[in-house]
Amino acid sequence: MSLSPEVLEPVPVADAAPAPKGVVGRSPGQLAWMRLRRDRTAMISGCTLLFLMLVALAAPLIEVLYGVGPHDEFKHLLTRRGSIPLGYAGGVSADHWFGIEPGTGRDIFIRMVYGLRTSIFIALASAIVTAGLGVTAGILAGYLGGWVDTVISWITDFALALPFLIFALAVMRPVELRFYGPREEVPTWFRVAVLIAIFAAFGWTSTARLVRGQVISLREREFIEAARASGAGLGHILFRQLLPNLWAPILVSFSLAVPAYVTGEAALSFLGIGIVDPTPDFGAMIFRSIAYLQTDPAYVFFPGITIFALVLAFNLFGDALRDALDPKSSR
Amino acid sequence: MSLLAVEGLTKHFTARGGVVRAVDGLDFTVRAGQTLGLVGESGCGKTTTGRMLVRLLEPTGGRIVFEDRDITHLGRRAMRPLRQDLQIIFQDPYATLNPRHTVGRIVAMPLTVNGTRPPGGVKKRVQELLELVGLNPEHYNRYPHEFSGGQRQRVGIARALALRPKLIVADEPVSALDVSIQAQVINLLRQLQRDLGLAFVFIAHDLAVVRHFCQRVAVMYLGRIVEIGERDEIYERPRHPYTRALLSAIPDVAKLGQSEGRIRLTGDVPTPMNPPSGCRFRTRCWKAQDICATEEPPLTAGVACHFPEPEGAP
Amino acid sequence: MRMRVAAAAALVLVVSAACSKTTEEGEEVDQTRTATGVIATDPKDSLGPAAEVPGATKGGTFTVIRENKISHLDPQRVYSFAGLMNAPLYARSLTAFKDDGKGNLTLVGDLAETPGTNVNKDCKVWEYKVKDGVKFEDGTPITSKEIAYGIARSFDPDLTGGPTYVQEWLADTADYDTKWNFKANKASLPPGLSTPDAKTIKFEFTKPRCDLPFALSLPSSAPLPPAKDTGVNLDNQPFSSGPYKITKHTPGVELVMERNEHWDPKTDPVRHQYPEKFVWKFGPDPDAAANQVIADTGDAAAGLAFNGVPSALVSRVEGDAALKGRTITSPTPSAWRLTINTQHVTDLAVRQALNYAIDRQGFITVYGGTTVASPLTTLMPPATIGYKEYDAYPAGPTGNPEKAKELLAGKTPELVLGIGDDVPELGTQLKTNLEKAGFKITVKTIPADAKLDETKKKDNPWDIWLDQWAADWPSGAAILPVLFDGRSIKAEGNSNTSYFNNDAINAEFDRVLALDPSAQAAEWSKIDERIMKEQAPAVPLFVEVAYYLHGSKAGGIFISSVFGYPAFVNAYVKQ
Repeated sequence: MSLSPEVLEPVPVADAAPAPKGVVGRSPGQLAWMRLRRDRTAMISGCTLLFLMLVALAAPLIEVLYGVGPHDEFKHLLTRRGSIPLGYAGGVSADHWFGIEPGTGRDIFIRMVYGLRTSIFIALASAIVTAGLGVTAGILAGYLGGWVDTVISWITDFALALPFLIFALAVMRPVELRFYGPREEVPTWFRVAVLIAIFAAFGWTSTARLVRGQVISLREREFIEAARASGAGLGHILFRQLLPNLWAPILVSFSLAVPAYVTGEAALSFLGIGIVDPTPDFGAMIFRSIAYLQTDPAYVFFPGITIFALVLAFNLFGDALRDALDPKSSR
Repeated sequence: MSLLAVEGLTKHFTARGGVVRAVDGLDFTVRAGQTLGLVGESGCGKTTTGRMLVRLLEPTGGRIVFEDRDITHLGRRAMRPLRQDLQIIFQDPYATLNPRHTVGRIVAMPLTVNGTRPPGGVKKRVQELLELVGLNPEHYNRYPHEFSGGQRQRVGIARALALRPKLIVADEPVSALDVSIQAQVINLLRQLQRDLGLAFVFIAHDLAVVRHFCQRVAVMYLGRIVEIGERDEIYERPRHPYTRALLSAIPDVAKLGQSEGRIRLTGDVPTPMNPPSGCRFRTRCWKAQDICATEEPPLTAGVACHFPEPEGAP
Repeated sequence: MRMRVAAAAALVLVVSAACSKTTEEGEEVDQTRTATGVIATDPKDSLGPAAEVPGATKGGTFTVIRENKISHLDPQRVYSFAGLMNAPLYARSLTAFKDDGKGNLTLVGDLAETPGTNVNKDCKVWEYKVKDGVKFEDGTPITSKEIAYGIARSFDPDLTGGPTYVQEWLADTADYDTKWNFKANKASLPPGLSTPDAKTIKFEFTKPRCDLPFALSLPSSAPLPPAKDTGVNLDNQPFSSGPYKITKHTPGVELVMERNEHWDPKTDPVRHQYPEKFVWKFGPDPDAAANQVIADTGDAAAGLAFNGVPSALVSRVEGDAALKGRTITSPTPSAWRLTINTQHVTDLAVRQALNYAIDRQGFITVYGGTTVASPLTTLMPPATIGYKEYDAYPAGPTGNPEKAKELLAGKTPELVLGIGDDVPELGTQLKTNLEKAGFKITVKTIPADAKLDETKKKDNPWDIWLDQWAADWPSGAAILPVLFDGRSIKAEGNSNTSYFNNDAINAEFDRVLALDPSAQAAEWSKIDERIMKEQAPAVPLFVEVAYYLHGSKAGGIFISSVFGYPAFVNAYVKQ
């Protein structure tokens, strides 16, 4: 508490000379932002993230500029005998910046750009759904208590006890069968939706626990009682009074959930139950590249480095965000 | 006609090991514009009583009548119009304001919640309120962490005033403040009470503050009122031994250095889970007789004691 | 510290591999070899000893490295490729293939003096004479009794896993074990099997069984004295009749075989006894095994990785000049085809269009290149006896989409491609390839472990999928009727996965199956071509190419023309 913002900020005295007109206070969020701005790690990881997200968003534009699509094949650039890219470092050239895939002969760079898009979209969407579910459940459990809390906590414990990978492996196929006949192709968007649903089904519990704990510590605060004494309804108390005080833990758990989902999605696709060929995807790409570890190491190198950078940047940024949103500032 | 009438108000909490009789049958009334002080040691049930009055807690028994209307078990919707007349100020200036809301939003909250549209707009009303409690109305957009404890308490008061209530329950509004600030806030409350004709139920353990602010005083011990009466009656001529003991503990500059007349209570306050039979104070009372253990003294003529000091005694 | 060293080593590996230039080099696989297999008519072919292997020396320990244990050692239960390649070392059968590793196969008598006498020339009665001087590992002579007992015990339902041809033919039913109960009749012989004297064994069938000489080349015709029958425990410690005997066996860890001094090379036309010992070491995965052999140290120097060089490692092996001369590459009889479900795709033009459209070169590239696959336009693989090459739908190595569109005449057939989820890129390749030729392909992934069982169900929902067939012996009889005789279609477990049923073709099968084995070979080739030209129930794709690497001290290894796996009968350790 040695450097609480109260000490840093000049405390206006009630009867002091009138402050200049239109004084606007700095909100806790703005203070956090200022701290974040001063954090070099946060800025570097944030810029990396921003760059990768821009690349992902601009994938079709990059395709046009680069002149190669993610499904274009360049089999003539592979050896006939071993299907390994000709030339250096997996076929790196002016036309194919990161080389080409062995076997299929597709351009690695543009597939990574699109893979980034798949990866980031799934991770962000999962994190958003997770946060939405987790926050709602956590607030309800924490504020209402009683049997609602008991039921939600029970479900949380149950979901935490389920082994994620085994569950995902067991669930993916029956879900596909339930919605698609044996002669119908399972569209990529459906697989994406199921992945998001699986992540959300598992991820919401930790957010819910976190939020529940926060809410329990907040619900006895007098500003909540003041709202109740003024006749505020449940909705107002939950979303107007409690929620703004939960942004810090929600943001931190969100920013740490995203990289977990990036790796999770890659892991599931690696195991063949996530995104499947020909949709560009990091997990599927790394799975294929493992077989060429010795003969074409460049194939695993580029997607490996990128997913590493993405996950590291998200994690560092999440940590920095947690520091910036230090609960001391919440007073 | 009394603004607020409380009859046999009771609150029992179930806890592990039994029932906590936090409030066990209170009777009192508050007239419009009147201030009633509720004093007692911590744990005597005064805060619980305050919470029940504004219906933050559901009473276990008894009745709360506000403007001739029984509000004891009104639902949230039915309670809504009465909320405007019945507000509360809290003890902790740090917990009383939502740290993520601007002061303007905090003060406006009762208006937004009740959908009240004051003439001239919410912002104007909020600025009026801020001015009323002695804050710079331009600080509308500031956040609680930018204010001192006393200023925050003023914000809390402004919020309680937003709906122009008739009665405010002030739950130890100054006990968390510095002594110098306490006086400012008390003065503000007195001024508001006079200017706006507010009635107060003023909960405090500090008898000096109560004496300064309240017209009537009720003394609570273990969930019951042991003595109630006009301020001067209580302070000048306390009749219940407990009241006398409390009053004697007030440091008096005039009597500094004299230990004479100081009543030291022995023993701890018994647990409200298992209060003593008969008179609850008997375990610490120097006047206790056999009857005190068997018969509970009723509150007659403002005092609940088998052996009260005679009326009019100094 | 160790982590850092490992990381540095990994970096060096990555950098060095990334900085070396990949070019197109290495000798081409001999893709056009044609098996000129025959059945020996001259009894001299069946005499021992087998011709000396040039450069072979005696002594040493030959090591074979494999990930999993061999599923069965009991000769009556051996059926896996590893088992089939290993069994000749300790189990002799009635007949055997003389194999030069280049596709020249001769079926000869092994324990028998000849590949068999077709007594009435109708394939219903076969007679075998047992050679003189053949002995078990304890020196007792092998007679027709022990051979017949071996065949009889293969009727025991407890002894699972082995081939069932001979049992089914003798009993004339698939439920052979109920027709003749081995356990209740241990002293007698199954119906149709008899031993008129100690040197003679006789098979009598109710229907012509012209493939018997081939079927008897499997180890299930190995002999066993009834006294040595330990039932299911024989799997751990078989009783040897071959050049080696099992001296130590820790299932899943190690199998040690040492010379059997009672084996007489003069009686054996195919086997040698060069190394002191053969040792199988189980455990390392295919990558690890290949890397051990590449490193060429310790046991692996005189050894072989039985799982071969994983396709992804092939180009690394190719690019390494030091490994030249240690690789063995050869097409195998394992043939891949794109099966067409003729129940769904009833229009011949569509099936022919698929054949015109197929881009074999592109498919092989995605599969791993020409070092692992060699294109095929026939239903039977080139290693089949009597094979004749043809291309019913000549469209060049990358297919002819225009010709396919022409056949489709403006229609866009919508086909559902079932693909194992372990090879989604093959599905993508087929979809891209066929859609260029005017098809609309829906790719449906199937769990890899369920794919085989599911496609073998008659009412499976898919139109086209990848299938693979490797016959138990290189005769058209073990391929075409199995894959395309419509009368054998059942609800589940079909080998005829095209669900193809044509009366004329079925009649042809019956006619040829009744011919003498030596006369059948050319006929099968004709039927092969006829099925493809007239019916096109599948699109032949490629045969797998075996790619093996052995240690610098290992010699005499060749790829079996019958099974496509390394054979050990000529193996030796360079001294």
